[in-house]
Amino acid sequence: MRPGSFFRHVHDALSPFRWGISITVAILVAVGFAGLSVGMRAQSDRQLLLGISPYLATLVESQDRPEILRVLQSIAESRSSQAVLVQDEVVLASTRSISEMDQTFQEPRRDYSALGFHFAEGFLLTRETVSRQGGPELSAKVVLLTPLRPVLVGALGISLAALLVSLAIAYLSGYKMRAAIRKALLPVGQLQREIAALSSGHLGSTDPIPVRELEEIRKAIHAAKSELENTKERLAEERAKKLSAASYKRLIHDLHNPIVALRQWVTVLLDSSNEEEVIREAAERVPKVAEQILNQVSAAKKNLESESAALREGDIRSCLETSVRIAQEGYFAANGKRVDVVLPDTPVVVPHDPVLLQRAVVNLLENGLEACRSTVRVSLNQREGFTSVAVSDDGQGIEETYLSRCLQGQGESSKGGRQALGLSSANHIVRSHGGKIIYRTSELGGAEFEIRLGAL
Amino acid sequence: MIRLSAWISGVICGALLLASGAVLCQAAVTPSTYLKPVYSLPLTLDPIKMNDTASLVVANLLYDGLLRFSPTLKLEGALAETWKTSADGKVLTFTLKKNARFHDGTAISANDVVVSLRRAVGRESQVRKYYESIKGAQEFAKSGNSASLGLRALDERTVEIRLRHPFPPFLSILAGATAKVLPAAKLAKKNFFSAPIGSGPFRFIRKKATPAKEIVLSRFEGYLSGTPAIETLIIRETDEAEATRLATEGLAHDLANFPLSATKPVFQKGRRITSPVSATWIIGLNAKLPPFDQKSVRQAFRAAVDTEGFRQKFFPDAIPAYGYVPPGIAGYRRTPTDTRKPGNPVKDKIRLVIPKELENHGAMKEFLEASLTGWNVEVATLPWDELMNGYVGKTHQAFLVSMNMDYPDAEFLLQNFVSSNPDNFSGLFDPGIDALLKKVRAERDRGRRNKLYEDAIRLIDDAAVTVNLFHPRANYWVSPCVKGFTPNILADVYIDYRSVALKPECGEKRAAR
Repeated sequence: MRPGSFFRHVHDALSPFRWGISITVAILVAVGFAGLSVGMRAQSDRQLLLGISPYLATLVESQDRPEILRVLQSIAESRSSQAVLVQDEVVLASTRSISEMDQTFQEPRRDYSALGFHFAEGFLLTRETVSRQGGPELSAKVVLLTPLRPVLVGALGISLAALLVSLAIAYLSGYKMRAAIRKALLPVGQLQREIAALSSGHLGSTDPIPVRELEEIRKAIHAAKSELENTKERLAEERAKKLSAASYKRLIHDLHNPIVALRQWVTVLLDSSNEEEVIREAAERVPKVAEQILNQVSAAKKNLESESAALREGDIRSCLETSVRIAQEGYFAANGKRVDVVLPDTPVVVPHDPVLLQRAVVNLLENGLEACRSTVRVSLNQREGFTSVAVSDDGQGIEETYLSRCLQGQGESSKGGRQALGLSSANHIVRSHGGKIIYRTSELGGAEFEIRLGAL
Repeated sequence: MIRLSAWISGVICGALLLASGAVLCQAAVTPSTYLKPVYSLPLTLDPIKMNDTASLVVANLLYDGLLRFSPTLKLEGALAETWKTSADGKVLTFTLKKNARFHDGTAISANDVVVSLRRAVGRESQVRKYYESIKGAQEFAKSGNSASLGLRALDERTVEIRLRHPFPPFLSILAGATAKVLPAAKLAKKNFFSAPIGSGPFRFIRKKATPAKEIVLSRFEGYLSGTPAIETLIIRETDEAEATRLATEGLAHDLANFPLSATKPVFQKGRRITSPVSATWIIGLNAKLPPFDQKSVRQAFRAAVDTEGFRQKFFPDAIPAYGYVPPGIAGYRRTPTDTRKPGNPVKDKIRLVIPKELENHGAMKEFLEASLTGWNVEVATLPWDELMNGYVGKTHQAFLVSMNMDYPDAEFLLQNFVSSNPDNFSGLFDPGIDALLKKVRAERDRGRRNKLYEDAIRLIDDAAVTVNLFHPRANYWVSPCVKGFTPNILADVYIDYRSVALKPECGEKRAAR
């Protein structure tokens, strides 16, 4: 599901209530109006019959049906009802049908009562005894049958009108509601902007958010940000310490054999009992071993002098593109060698220090360009659990035994007798990222150094 | 006025036609022809002479008055656009609708109204008693002098009617089937009523005797209240059996003019629309002829008739009658009263006549003769015209009729017992009743009017000139192809055919002889 905006979410959440309230109001108005109409009509009918009853009684006493009919017709026409006058359960006069006069009164079927109202066959029934003060007992009643349909149609009309008004109010209130939602969401927007600014490294607004909960979130985010940075610094320090310790350990380990060898050669040299041939060889070997020890110490010193890595999330593609540009500018433009770059189309986000990693990649690229015949290839791949940056060339490749010496800083550069410290430095930088460098023979025929970053 | 019920007349002509060998056939006709069988064609088309249901049915189709009844008896303007009553209730002022026209296109004026109502109170009028409350009506009937008559055209569209006294039912009388407006200028024309011109929803086209006795009406395109949907309306005289056959075969469109029982099989072929009607079936007793000239005999005879048995046997869906006034009218009795005074049967021969046209006249005869044990009663079935002749001439000792109403007020029915009324079928003379009904006419207060009615009814009950059998309930058969048919709670006369239409999906047939 495609996520929508917070505004839309709030708006959609409120809409059912808005329409529901409109419809509910319309229904309540309709029911109320219908009840009120029926009640008022029943009351009005009853009062009318009560008022006319003494006169009807006089007419019943004289059995003046024509006059009773005139009165009933007048009532029926003015009230849009039907009127029946019954005496001893026989219809004396009726506006419903001429045929029912002088016949037994047929009580409406399915007569039922509610709240003091009587209903039957779609009519509101109002019955009243016909009598007058001081008059004889007539056993007569007048029944007024008022059709419910007009009342209910009126109620329906009112309810429709109420619905329309409610909908119009709901529609208009929609505008207000949207504005209110937007206004209510301003603090959220402020928080959103601050978070965005924080993620891009900016400080963002320092204005307080006028919503307590959001302000607390904002403060919590800022606190978390500070804490995170402190933690990162502490982690970096700890990692640097670990790397230093590891470097010292490696240096100690790497120096152990040369020093042992130096001690043996010095022992041989000092032992006069040895043959001259042997002593002369020892004399030649001692300076070389001492030189090797000094080289290793120099490389270790240089690595230790490097700043510790400041890792941050970022697209590693830009780092590689910069590295290729620097290496090309510095080396192969005059030699006609080319660098093939194979990068994915989508960002490859990896925690890394762009400056250091760039230096490591440039070192590997310079080595490749130095060793290749014509082509160096840089490829970036997202593997399962790690990110791979491979630098391959089509040169002669490196012997495995020489490789380890190079990684330890014992190698020798082909460029004017320089020490081969580039590979050792790259190895150190990758390790400071928590990664490692793997060597293998390249598909191009030369060497391939793969930098693996991420979980190992 | 009384009118004899629709069911007890009118089959004579149909029977004669059948006897003469006419046959029924059917033929396709254009749609919108509506066939309405009636028991009898109108005896007259002159509104002031109408005394039978069939005439009144056609009168309401051909003519409009100032007012009309709605199906539930609400008063509505017909030709009158507005009307008002003065504070003292004695002056009624009507304004006619603009553009009101007769079928021939001539405009209807206030003078047409005055002339038409003047006829109603004139000497030749048979419905004069309705209008006697008009100021100067009695003098006009005697002398023909209209100078003091309370009918006046104030202008072309305004009519003023002055009454002798406030009379609340008068507006209902003006909505009745006899208060119709005719073209004054054409009335003098000879044989005007052979092809009358009115302003009602239908125009008179023709009356024919063969192959069927029919009156053909066509809708009035310029009718003010909207052109009726029915294009052609055929009123056909036939008896109940033939009308039932026409209905069963889908040829007739309604049988509203016939008194049908709810259980008649014809309803399986159509719709039954039931409705109360303001009517009472009675056995009238002639107080002028022995033995009913004795009140005690009338009371004993009334107590002896098994009215409830009669109702249950012949019209079980009717309402028991505990009095003369039907339900829904002031004075109606909902429960029996102790007015029965049993007595010993007399030995005098009593002839009770019932209409022969009644479908169950034979069974009725058997029932009445069997139930009146101890009485020397002979039930005779008479053709409708003979029965009516005896009724008008007061020659029957006892007769079975249905009393219908023309306007919804007890006063209409109780007038039958006013001694000066020609329609006093029983010949009863009771000054107490006369005084009460005279008083009630002028009484505007509803409560006091009802009290006067009750007092009068008590006297009439005591007089026992009617055996009240039941109050009928109308069961109208209506074709499934008909829509808009609405009964009227007063009577079938007032069914409004303006709103009746034929369903377009129904094919139309015409029954012809």
